Amino acid sequence: MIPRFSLPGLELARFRRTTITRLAVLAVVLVPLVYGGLYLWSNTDPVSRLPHLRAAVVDSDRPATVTGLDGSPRTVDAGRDLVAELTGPDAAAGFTWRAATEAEAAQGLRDGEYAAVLRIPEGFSAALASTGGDDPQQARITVTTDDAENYILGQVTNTVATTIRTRVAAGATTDYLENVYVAFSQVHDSLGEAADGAGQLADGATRADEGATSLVVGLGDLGDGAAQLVDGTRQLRTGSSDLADGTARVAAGADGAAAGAGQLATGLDQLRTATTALPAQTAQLSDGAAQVATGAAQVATGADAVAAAADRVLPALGTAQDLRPLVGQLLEQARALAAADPGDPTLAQAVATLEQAQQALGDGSLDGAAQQVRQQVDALATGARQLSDGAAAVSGGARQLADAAPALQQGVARAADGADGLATGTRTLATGARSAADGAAQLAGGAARVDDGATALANGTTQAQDGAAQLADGTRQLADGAGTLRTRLADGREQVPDYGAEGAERAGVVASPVAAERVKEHAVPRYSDGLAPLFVPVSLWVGGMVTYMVLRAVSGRALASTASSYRAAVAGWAPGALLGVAQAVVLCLVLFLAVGIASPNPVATVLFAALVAVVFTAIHQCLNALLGGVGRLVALVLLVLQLTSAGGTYPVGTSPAFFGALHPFLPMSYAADGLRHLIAGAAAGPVWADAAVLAGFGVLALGVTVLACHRRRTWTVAELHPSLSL
Amino acid sequence: MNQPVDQPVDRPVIRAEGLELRAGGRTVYSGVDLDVAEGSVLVVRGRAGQGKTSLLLTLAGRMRPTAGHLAVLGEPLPARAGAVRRRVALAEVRGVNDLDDALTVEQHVAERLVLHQPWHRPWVSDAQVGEQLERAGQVLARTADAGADVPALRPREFVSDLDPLERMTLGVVLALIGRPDVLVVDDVDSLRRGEDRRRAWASLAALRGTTPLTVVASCSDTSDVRWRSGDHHTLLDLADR
Repeated sequence: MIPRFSLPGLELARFRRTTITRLAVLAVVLVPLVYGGLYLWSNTDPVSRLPHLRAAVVDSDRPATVTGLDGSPRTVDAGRDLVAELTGPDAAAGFTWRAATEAEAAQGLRDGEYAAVLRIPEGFSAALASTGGDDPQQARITVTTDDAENYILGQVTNTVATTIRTRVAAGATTDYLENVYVAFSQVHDSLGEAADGAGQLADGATRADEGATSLVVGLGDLGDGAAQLVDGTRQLRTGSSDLADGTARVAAGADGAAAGAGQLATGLDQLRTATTALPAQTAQLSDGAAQVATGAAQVATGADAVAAAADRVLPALGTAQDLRPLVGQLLEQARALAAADPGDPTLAQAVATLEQAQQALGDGSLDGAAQQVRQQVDALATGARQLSDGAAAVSGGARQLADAAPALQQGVARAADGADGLATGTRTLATGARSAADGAAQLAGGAARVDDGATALANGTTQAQDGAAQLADGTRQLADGAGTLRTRLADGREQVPDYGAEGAERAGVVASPVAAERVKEHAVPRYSDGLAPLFVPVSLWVGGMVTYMVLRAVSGRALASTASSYRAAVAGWAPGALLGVAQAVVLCLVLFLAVGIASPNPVATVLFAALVAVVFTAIHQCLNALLGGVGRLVALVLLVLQLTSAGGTYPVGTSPAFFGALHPFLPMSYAADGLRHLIAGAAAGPVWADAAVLAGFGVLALGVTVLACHRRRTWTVAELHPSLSL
Repeated sequence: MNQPVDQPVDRPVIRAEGLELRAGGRTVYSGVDLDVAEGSVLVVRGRAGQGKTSLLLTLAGRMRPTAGHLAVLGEPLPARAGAVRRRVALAEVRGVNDLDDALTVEQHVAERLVLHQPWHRPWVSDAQVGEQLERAGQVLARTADAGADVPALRPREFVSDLDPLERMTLGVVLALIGRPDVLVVDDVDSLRRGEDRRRAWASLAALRGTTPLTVVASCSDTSDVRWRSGDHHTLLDLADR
């Protein structure tokens, strides 16, 4: 404790004498508590007390019909649902909502009956229903507040609007997600089908594996065959090479044959030409031969006769001379014969012989000659016979020849034709043989390539075998994998949604299916404009307090005078009121011109502020006149009570009930309200009402001041010797 | 000896019987019996702290006695205090209606004039103030004629510049503006110079002679009082009780 006789103790001792001074010390201690405590109490949690405020909800919505994924039509009446939810028993959406008509809501907002108006437009349900459709639309609601009623509330209402928006959005999203879940079940079914398909795939893969195994075996066989093929093609290569050589030779031979055939044809042509006259000649030959035969026969006969003669000559050799004429005849005949047939050597011989014989008969050598003649005649007779026979045969042959000559001629002609054809043919053959040779050469080349190919085939087949083995492994794995796929698909069939092509577009709307539009009526541009209606009266209240710290509320001279108490009261109030008006005018002008507070009715605002100042002055004078120095303490407490209950920042409904109960009984409530309407530019009606109430407060204060003056005209001993001067 | 001017002695202005005031556990005054005739002077004498000011305020209807009977100007107190207050004027009483050092003589006069005007006329003209000052001057002159010799008031002079006698004079002049029936002057002894006190008393006596005014004054020492013959005066000595 403070020592009694210390300086602080002595200073405080001044206050220990009387009860009022002790209370004054207590008041000094408590003023900060009153100020801070009340202020913070009133602002405990304004937002959580928003339900104490009434708000209207206007439903202009029309129900919409929507077709669900299951195809059944469903009616969406989101507006009615929202109204029911907001006005329902367990609604917790900021304000206490009431369904209202548009007219009621607008009027209520103006009157301050409703803190906010929520408007649900006509197409609300339709827009909400559209989130699941082809053309998603944002549903809109508007929340309207009036800055002329409260500025902070306009700010706070954003929270409420957000809450409602979120709530409606949640409902809409639920509807939408129901559809999504239906889609999920479809996906689920589809996944079941996919699992079945995967099973079939697994089966098929197993069969593929079997096939691959068979392929491995078959490729083994193919490898063997390819090896054999390589052997065969090698032989083919050799053979085709030989063939090429052979055909080359054939071609060469054919060329030779062609040349020969050409010569043959030429020869045959000549033969044909030559045999043209053959039939005639042979006929002549035949005739000639016949004549020869005849002649020969005659010769033979002659010869026989000669021979007989010669036989007879021989004994008559001496009669040789008699033979000369006969030989001459014979020579004659032979010569004729030989002339007939100059080509016949026999005839020529015979002629020659006959000539020798004639000679020999002439030269006397007849004996010999006769011998010779005999022999000769014998030979001649023989020859003649032979000749005859021959001539006959020639004749017969010539006859046959003549008979055959046409046929021969024809045959030769045909042979010539044939030889021509042969020549042509052999030329063609030669050409063909050359082509064949070329072809055979190509064949040989081809056979070589075939052989190479067959070798490659054999190698490829080996690789194919390896590949087929890998394929068999792969198809085994495929079969395993397909089995796993089937299992996994079966496991995962309740997962994985598909939002389709409109996903992105729809996502925006689904993410925010409802837009809450904020409308502020009589909106003021800035926070300062919103707060000015509170702080102008607060300033004027403080101004009034200061005024009567400087001025005396009531002049002691006036009280002690013989003038009436009313005059004394007015005498104390008038200078204060004058200062108050000056305060209000200066304050408003600075606010308008320097701070930038704006009002559509600056003059009315200044006048109203002046009224507020005058009324506040009267109240302060009253408090001072009534309570003296204690009145200033009371004014201080009243300041904070008004600051907290005037609803200058948050609506008074958001403060504890104490402040709401106080609200109508304190002048600053009306001062703030009037200024708010004036600065926000709202209707004039409430301003007049506020001014009237304020004037009432002023008159009341002045009346009380008069009473106080009347009372204070009687002094007490304590007043004469005041121990406390405030 | 001069006869009293025109006061009917038989009309009592103040009648008190067993008047007593107790406050804060002590007796401020007690046993006051008075019978003051109209136009007379009541001198209340007592030492400092003996309740002179309280008794004067009680008689002026501005303090409630705790016991006894009192009637002023025929009005019983404290029941008719309001009526009494309108007819009993106080000159300057320190701690009750102090003059303002920051105001001039004429401003005080104007203030007092305004207080006696109806509410819708919160100002007075220079002429009114001048007239009132002139009237005060006439009164002072008359008292001077009676030998009081109180200096005239200079209208533009600030109260802080007045000497004590002038200040008391201003208080009296202001009190008389309301044309009271009783004038109350506290603590004439506050004038430190004996000459001033003598002139003050003389002046008060002279005032009584100008109107049917009853004067109530207090002091701690009456040695400076020069009672003229024919003066109706009553002396109440609080120190004797």
